[in-house]
Amino acid sequence: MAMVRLENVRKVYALGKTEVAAVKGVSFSIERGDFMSIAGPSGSGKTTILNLIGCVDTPTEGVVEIDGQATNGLNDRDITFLRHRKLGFIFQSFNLVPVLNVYENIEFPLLLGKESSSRTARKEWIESLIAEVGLEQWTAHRPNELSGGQRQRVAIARALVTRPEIVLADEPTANLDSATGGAIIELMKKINREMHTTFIFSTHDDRIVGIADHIIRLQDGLVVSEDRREQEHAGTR
Amino acid sequence: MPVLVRIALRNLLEHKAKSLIIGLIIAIGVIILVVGNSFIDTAALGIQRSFVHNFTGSVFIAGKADAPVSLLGVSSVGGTESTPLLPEYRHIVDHLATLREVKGSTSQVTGIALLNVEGNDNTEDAVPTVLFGIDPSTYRSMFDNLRFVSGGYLLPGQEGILLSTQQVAKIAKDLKIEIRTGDKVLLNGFGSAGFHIREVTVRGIFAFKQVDPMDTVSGGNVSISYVDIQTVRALQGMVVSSTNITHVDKAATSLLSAGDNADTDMFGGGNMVQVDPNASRPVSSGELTSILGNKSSVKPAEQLDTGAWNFILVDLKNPNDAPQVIRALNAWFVSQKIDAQAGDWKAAAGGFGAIADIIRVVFVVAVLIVAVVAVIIIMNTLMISVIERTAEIGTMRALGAQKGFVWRMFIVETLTVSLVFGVSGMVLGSILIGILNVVGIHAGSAFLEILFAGPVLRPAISIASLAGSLVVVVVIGVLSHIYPVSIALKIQPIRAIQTE
Repeated sequence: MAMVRLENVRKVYALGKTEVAAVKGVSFSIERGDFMSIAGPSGSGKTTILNLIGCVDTPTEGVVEIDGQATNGLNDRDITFLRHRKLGFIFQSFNLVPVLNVYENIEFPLLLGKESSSRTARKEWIESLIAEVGLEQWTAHRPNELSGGQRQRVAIARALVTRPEIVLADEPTANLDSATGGAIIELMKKINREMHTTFIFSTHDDRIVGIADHIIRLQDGLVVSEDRREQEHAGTR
Repeated sequence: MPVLVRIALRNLLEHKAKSLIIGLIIAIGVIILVVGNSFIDTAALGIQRSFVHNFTGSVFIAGKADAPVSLLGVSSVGGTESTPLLPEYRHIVDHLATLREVKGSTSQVTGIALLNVEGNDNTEDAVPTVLFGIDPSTYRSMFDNLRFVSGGYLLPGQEGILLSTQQVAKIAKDLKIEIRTGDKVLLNGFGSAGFHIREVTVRGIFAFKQVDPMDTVSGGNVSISYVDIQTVRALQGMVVSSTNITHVDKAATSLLSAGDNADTDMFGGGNMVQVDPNASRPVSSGELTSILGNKSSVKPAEQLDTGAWNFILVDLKNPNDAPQVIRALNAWFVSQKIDAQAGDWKAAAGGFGAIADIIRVVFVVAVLIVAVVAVIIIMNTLMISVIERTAEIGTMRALGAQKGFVWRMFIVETLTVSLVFGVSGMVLGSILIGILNVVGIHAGSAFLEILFAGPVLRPAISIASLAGSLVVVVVIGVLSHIYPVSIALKIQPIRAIQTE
């Protein structure tokens, strides 16, 4: 069963009296463990599709399924629960909680749900994630004391802390220099291989599109190409 | 520490300017509340004590009227309704004697009179006074409110009047005569039974240990004078014939409408007075006066009603028992079909008892206005905070925070700032009251003396007032955050992506 399935999805925004179709009937599916890139120029509909998969927006038409569950018709409470349980987010602007330090930002999503693990187990898990993203020396620092790359590493660890099935990253390298951006994508790829987490990221940078093993290219709200490569999973969760 | 509290505290510290604006408004509001409530509570308690110990007792029993009855009479429109006599007086007194809560009681008749002196024909100069007709022995044992400048208290059964120093000064000013103990004054009483004049001896000149509320409120024009009960009854026309109503049956009253010639039928049509041809000598005017002046045959009809009282003032062993004693008495009046009513000191004090309540209402209105302003300012500040944190809230929602989490986050922030600054305000307000309690606030006028229940007000803190202030702060905090939070709850997770 596909991890994510979009079927004939349309999204129309109202701009005053004008309606703008950001996505014009898109269908594709994403398999578990995919490291997928949604590529395309600005205005092609990448972010809209990511928002629809991330359940932060609803389609005007069509069906979006996450792990076999249709998101259409879910109420706010259920869809929030679904996001918390199944999805992790990495934002272009990092979106860390400014008053929390690195450790607390990563811990934050765990505190939103009914976490069954013990405090010790939780601490060990968070510290392992901090080590994974290479921020052991920065755990007590607040976001404003970190570089862009470090902030995005915190965001990656935060996205993974609830052990989500899918991590969505909207232009994760857009606010980073190319070297840092490359490193961030490599980190994501490494985690994808190690944890078998499905990564879906949008980008318009062709240099990092090539790292993905499943690429969807968009143009004016339509899928213009879909490319799958053989995955290089080195491990499982 | 829970993440909500952590976020709340750090956000407050992060946005110091906004937190301080909100906090200062709350702290100042609480100081005003604590100090204002303390003033009013202290004054209200002082006024209550002043009236209970000096004029009203804890429980006040009066006859029923269409309008509220107080020690000063019936507060009817135009003041035309006379003060009702207390029915079944002896029965009520006997019942009071059986109540274990009752420490003692005294009775009173209130009247109004113009005070004049013999030889002064200009009645416009007469000095108005409120007469408290009392039983000196029971009244004195219940109210130790007079300090005598000359003379002394009325003796039991003694005719006489006690004048206040203000009254004496006013007589000296208006009637140009220096009244001393032993002098006689004329009292021109007016009531429902018409005008009556009595001459009474001044037995004492006193000053109230505390201010005379009547004199203060009337601007020095009317003072309270204490008079022996029989004199007041006479001035009020409380004679047996007027207090005992005789019911006449229809057969008897039909005689009164016997027709146009009824008087002729009854007394005959001829001359009623005829010269006695056998009379040895004419009757002199002196003999006539002597005959007509002999009132022995009419005395029963004009005899003063010694059981006629307007009020019974009851002193309780524990003044806090007043509400239940009043309830029990009113129930007893109903069961006994007695047309009387029991009330508290406020009922007895009439308009004076409402002074503290009126001031409290004015204060509450002022506080409400301040509270509304505070709510608006706090609300605006919180709105700015919500707008600034749109991305943060959107991110939290995207990460799985339910709306309840966002609501709790804001309420914790609001309550934290409300409690921190509210408690600070309470502490500062308490310190201020402590200082004022030590220093004391001197009443600059007689009116303030009534409000302060003495020459110096020493405000005291009450726990209830502090708790009330805290409740008000929390309510203001909660009210202030409702609208901003409703906006915050509408923030969709997508705003995390849309907001840079």
